[in-house]
Amino acid sequence: MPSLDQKPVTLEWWRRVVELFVTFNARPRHEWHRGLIEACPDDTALAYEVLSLLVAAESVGVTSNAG
Amino acid sequence: MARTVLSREGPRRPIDTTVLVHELYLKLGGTSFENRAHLFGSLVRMMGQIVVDAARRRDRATRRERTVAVDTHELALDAAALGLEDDAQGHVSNEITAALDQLDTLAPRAAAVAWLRFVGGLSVERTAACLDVSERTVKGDWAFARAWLHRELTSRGLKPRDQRSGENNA
Repeated sequence: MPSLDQKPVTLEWWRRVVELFVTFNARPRHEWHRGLIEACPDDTALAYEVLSLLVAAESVGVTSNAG
Repeated sequence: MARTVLSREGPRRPIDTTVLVHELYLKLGGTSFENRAHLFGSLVRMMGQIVVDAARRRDRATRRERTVAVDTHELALDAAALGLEDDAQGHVSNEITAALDQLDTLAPRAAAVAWLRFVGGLSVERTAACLDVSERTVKGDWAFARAWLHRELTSRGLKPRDQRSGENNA
């Protein structure tokens, strides 16, 4: 049975998601993947959560580095 | 702020400003707030809910009176700002407010920014003043909230907006 603890959902975790999203949203796309893995080596779920949001940001057109 | 929330409803607004403020006062009761972000975020959220409830009541009454189907009227939110199709405005807006409530449990400040900017119609400057944060913080939170909402709503089956692909004559 899949467990709920696969994805940590504490407020602190989400605060970090927002922080990393804002930081990387201002950076070029090619830096996202490697940069995020380096920024959170002990939490790949966090890195992929941010990455997924950065991709969504591109769809909405809110990526700062666009153009 | 109440006037701004209602101005988005156009001439079909389901509730008037005085009634909205009165209902808001009743809803607030003895609620205490931790800070400005909590206060303004809560205020605009409550206003949004009151408008949505009023619209539902009105539409139910209209349906009872006439057997003709009427379109359900919800908050007229700009789905395009979230990169979503807004052809079914009422349904999309309803989904957006539900998703905003969910965002509030994960990232309360970003949710407050989204409620003030999106539902309240406040500028970046006024949102920053309400929440007592910098404009830079508001811009970051706003970008995050829009990205999160887009992802959340498309995962619930809402259609992403076709960005200038030019195939719209179906």
